[in-house]
Amino acid sequence: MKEDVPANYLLRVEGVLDLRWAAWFEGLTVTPGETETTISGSIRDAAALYGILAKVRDLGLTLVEVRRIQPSHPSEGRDTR
Amino acid sequence: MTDPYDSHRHGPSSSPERDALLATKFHIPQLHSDLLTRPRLLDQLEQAVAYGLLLVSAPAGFGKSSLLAEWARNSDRPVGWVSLDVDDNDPVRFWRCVAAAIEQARAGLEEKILPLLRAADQLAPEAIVTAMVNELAARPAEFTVVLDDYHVIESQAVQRSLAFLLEHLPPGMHVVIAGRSDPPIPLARMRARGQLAEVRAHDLRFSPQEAAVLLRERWRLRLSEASISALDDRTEGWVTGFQLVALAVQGQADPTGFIKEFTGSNRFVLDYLTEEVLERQPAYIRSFLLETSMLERFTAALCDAVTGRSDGRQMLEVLDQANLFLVALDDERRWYRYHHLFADALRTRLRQASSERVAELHRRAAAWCRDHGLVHDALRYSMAANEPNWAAELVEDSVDEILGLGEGATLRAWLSALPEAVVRSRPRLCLAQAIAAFNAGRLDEVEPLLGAAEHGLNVRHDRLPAPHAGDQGALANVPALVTNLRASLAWARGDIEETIRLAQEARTRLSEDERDPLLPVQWNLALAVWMQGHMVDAERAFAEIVKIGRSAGSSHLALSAGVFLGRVQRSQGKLGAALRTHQDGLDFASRSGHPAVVTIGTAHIGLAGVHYERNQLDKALRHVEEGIALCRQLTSSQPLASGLATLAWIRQATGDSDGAIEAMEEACRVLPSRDVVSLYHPVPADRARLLVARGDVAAAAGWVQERGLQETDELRYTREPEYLVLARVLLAREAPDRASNLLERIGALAEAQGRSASVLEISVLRALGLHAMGDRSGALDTLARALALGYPEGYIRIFADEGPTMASLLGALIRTTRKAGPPGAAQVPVDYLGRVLRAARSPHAGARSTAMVEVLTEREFEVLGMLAAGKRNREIADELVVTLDTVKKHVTHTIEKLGAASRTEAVARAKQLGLLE
Repeated sequence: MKEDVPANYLLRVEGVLDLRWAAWFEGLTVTPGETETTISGSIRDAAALYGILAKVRDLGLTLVEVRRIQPSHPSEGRDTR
Repeated sequence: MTDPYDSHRHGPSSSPERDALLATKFHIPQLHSDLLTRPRLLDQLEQAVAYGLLLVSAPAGFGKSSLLAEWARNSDRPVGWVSLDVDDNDPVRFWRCVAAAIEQARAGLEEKILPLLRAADQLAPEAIVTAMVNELAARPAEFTVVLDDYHVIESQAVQRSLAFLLEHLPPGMHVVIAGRSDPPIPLARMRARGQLAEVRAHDLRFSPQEAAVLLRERWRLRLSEASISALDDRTEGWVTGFQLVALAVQGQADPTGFIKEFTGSNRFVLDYLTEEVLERQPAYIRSFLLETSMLERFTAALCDAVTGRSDGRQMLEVLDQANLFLVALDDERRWYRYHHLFADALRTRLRQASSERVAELHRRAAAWCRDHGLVHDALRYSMAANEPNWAAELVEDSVDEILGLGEGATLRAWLSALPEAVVRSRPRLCLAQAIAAFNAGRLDEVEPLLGAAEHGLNVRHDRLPAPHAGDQGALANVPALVTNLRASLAWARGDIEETIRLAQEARTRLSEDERDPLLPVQWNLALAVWMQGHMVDAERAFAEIVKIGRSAGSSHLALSAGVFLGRVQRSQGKLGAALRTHQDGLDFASRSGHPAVVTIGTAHIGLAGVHYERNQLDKALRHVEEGIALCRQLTSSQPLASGLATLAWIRQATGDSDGAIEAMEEACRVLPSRDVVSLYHPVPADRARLLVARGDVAAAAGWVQERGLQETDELRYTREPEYLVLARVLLAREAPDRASNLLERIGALAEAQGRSASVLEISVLRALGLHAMGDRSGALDTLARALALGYPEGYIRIFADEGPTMASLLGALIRTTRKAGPPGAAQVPVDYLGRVLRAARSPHAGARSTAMVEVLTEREFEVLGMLAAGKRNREIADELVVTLDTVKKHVTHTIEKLGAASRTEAVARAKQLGLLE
């Protein structure tokens, strides 16, 4: 990863989180599901990502997945079908 | 226990709150009354602690701290504790805290380590750890130190130095690291060696049986076995979950129903239960909880300041009684905090209130903390309240203290947290940031900051308000200090001319009422004066700084200034004075109980240099090795380079020429820039000189050419080392007349400036030059005068290092003296001449002690000459007008002293040594 360029991430945690936790996760989108919650959005850089992970840790949430979402920026994306 | 924030001149504005808060870090947490003791875990801990390192790694809320506290309070082992926080990422502060924690379990560490920490910005953190390990190993004891909340540590410097400690754990020391993540230090090796024990979430979870005891017996909840089992399942044995349930269940009409709903829900446990708990609370408690949740730690008074109420004391009691996640930080029940998770959940809810309200709460907290001397907290709340100017003012007021404590990392962190515009608008902060950058070696960052400081000064037409720290503060006189820091930059670059100019300019900016000029300015002025060759003034200036250092109890300052003082004295040819300077430095450091100060290495190297000059090679070697080992830990590499260069000459003198060039190459490598050659960085020139001594004249000549040295250049004291190399090259290249001309010019300057050591060296070279030009008697005369000059202070190597030609000249001189009776040279005792000659003659003779071949007396010399002429004892007795017995005695002694077995052998030996022709 280019460490200092923002990228979109998706995190999944176990448990259903209330929307109010979005502020806790620095303005990322909190999408509660049935048994899990998705936390997604643009994360500034690597340091910010690890900060978010630390918050997940500190709340005692069980992390299920961390995924970087391909940017939809045309200049960075490959040719799509 | 010693106050770990052991203050000196610029002491902290101490406050009772601050001291009390500080003490809480080292307080082993209170045990909660309804704690459930789990013997299996306590046993596990007791055994695990026997290992070198015990890791207690589990997410928040698993009861790590409670368990460790219970163990610590009940164990027979001496246990020290420190609860780490985010400010401890400054390595100096971190180790200060660890030392304080260790002190609780094993007294006597702090007094050795604290002085070291004050000079810590000059040292690598490993140096601090080394000193700690040495001290602990010197008086081993069994003890355990607990580092709680280690997950807050992110600093690489701290991680590395901790890893270093674990690698070199002194016998008897046990470490416990407790945190929410595994620390990023190499654990694999410790695991493999069986030195690591672990207690993890798996171990900490409550089994259903343990949960039953906890919930039913301890907390007296009437729950069915099915409910308990479901709870244990849902929370996965997480004790905080149980606590929250216990609170939520109180006053529920249908506890079983509640539990069923809870365990059946997928909602995030913490959130669900916190909501339940909060809903149970009356409004006045709920609002108190929410409003005070933004505080990291608090007293009743701080709560009142924030809530605007006056019931803080009662509220805390209520919360404590209700077991609402209040954690007492000390025994006096003064400072508290909330359980981290509970606080997090509360804060999330608080955020939903108006942001202005939240900012106001932070503002109140910041003001109270500031008023009570709690700088770190006040800063955090100010920034959170969006009041960067408050924060900036706090930082400005605290700079002196922080720098005095050696916590440069903290200052840098604070400054980078402030918005750049705010820093730029405050000249003192710009200056502080510049100082911090300079100390950290980030030299490129310094000038822009200084420019910003000046710009800020110009923009403010009014004068800066007086600094809170008073006139002696680190930021007292901004214009002078800005200029002075530029002088330091120039010095670091090796630009001597600029250093001198700027130092003098800085002095002009001092105001009249600054009778004692600020120390940094004084320092640069002393350097400037030295560089200009005003030796007497330089000696006085550095001696003054040494005195200041001693009276302030700063070994580090005294020793650093001592390095320069010794150099100045050596330039003046005062070997004895230089020796005393360095010896006094060592004595002072050990008297004040600061043997751990690494700067002591510089004194050893200074001593080594003097002993070398006097050909006391064993002593020189001992000191230089000690000095080099210590100086490797300093961040400034100049002393190390100097030591390695001295080592090189010692090896050369003892016949290890390859070892010599090896050491000299290393000396050149450790310097930051090899291009800088000057008085302060003579090593490159020294290397060239060594090349000549080894006979590698071509390489030396190549260096001379690279440096662009010409005989016709204008000569300056600061470049003298280089031009002396040029002279040597000329001599070696058989251009003695050119060499002589150059030497005369260098010598004239040296003479005028009273730099006797240079005068001596130049005389020696001139003697060689005269000899090369065929003027033997002129050479001997010059040499004789040089010896007369060198004798009082015991100079030997300055002659001996010049090789076989010098040796033969010395031999000739001795013979001439003996024959012709006293001219000027007879001011010098023959035995001194003998020593010099022996040193010059062969490397090995110089290395061995003079006991090997004792110095011959005047008489014995005469006898030797006659023995060589084949005279028999009777003839000798007649000639000398003494008894036969006397002659026999002289002959025996002479033969013995020469280590021979017969007269013939003695004569042969003498010829070998050049005592005879």
